[in-house]
Amino acid sequence: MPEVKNNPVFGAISYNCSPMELTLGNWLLSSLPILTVIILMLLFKWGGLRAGAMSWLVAAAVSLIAFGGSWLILAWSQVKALVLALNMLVIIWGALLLYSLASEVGTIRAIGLFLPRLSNDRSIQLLMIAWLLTSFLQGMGGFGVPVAVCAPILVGMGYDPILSIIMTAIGHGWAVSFGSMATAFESLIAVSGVPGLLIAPYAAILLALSFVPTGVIITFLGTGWKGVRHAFPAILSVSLTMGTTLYLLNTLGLWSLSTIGPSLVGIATLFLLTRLPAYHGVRTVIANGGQELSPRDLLLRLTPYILLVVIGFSVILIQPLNTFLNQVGISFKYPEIISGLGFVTPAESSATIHPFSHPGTVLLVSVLLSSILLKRKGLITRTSPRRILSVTAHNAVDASLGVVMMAGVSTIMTHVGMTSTLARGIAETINGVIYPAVAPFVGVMGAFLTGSNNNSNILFGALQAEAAALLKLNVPLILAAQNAGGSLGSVMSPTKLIVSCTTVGLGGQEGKVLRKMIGYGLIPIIIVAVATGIWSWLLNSGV
Amino acid sequence: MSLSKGAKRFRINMLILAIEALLPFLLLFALNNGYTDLGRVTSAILVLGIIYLVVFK
Repeated sequence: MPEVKNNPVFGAISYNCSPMELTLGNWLLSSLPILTVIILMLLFKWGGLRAGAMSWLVAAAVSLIAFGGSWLILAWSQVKALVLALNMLVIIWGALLLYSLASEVGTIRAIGLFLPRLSNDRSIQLLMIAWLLTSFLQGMGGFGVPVAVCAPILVGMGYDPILSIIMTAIGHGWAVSFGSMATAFESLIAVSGVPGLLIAPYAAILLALSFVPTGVIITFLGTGWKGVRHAFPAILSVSLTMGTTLYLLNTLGLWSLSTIGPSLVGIATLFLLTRLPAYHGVRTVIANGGQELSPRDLLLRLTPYILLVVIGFSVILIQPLNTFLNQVGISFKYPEIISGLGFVTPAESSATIHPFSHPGTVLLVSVLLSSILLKRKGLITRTSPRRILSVTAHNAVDASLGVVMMAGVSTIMTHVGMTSTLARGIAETINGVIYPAVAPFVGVMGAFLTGSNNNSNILFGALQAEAAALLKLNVPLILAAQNAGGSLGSVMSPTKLIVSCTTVGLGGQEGKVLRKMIGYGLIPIIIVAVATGIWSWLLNSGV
Repeated sequence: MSLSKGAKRFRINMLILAIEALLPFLLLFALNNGYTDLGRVTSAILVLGIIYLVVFK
């Protein structure tokens, strides 16, 4: 049974605690699968799929040899991993299909032609796409959609594919935890038992602290320091308006809108700023052979994305429609699983999948409807569907295998108590002064491993609350740090990188991308960690 | 007609994806019903598929 310990601050908190004695050897063995992925990708530049497969073999071997694993546990772990992966894969397949359709009908080129009408300023264009559009799409689509949609647009504008992935991934890192109806945040509330209204203000402030560094990193990567100096007032203005919106929505308990709301406010702010001469840029000759699309042609080619926004928004925000579509839900029941060393995974149900309101379905419906429309207008020929499906299938197979492997690593580790041992090692050996600054990195670790802020919060939410209570720290602040770490760290996970790389033709080069990305991706996380440390110290010293 | 290298790789990866998606269920069935040999063969194929990804990707 999961161990139930009494939390002196917020009542009973339950987490699955490994019965194994915590030793350095056990801890190191538990960390082996994660270290395998990191070392193979960063040092040996292996692709995400290959590193994930190796990590699966290591996790299986360690579980069988040292953690009381069995073939039955491996089979159940893999079945659970498949269900977990399916939830993400439907979105990935939809996003890849949308991307193939967009490439076929020239949408990416159309966006490249449209942007100069908004502003000719490269740094403003970059911020609009890599920071705000990605964040907005995260609010609707979630997993993989922002990078899958926006990175190819940046490549089409002439940016290096690796930089395009890094900029779009880091750009929407803050938006993950409150995206997709704040599922990750809701999971954190559920597993910790701490009321959302207590965590939400801390969560808003910690995530808002990442805004300025995120904007600066994107502008620096795209346009250098000169661009940063030029765009800094705009970054600051957008950060202030987005941060205020995020804080207000969270304190009002409207966190399901805390990605879409701030993103829209950010887009509006930047749009207003483009009216200023400083950010309107110099009118240049239109690229692409001097062609300029008529507004009608432009609108037509943007159909897939316009429909995605309209349908996605309708499904999320029109409450009666949302309730109607959510009537059908699929959930799988799993039995209790006990490892050879007595680690118990209680009988449980998988997360409910709502097939009709699922972001993957929204993507597929958008593709289907826009295909019909575009076929009528002659933009899709007889040979187009075959080409679109072939490109999608080629990209989807490797991405799907990669996601299944990483999900498998995560479920094996969870079912034999490796994840629990890993987290306990951190929570029980670090003192109360240092722990707040480490808490976001526990969230990062969970998200890196599972590719999801939601899964990171489920894995470590209760443990973080327990550790904070034992160390007499502010529990909501530590949970907010877990949430922020998971959100900002998830964009660097191999699972997400596999999908991102596929869409810009860098399949198999995830290690190269991660190597370049990790330094920049860690900057907002370090800022959040330092802020949590200082904030916790101030709270504990009664300032 | 011989397949190109890319098409061959695509088909093999499709096959491995199918193996990784279906065999865990077969393994569960075998282990829960005492079909030891089927369990052994299934788990061996499952692991060999993953080893292929490590060695040949």
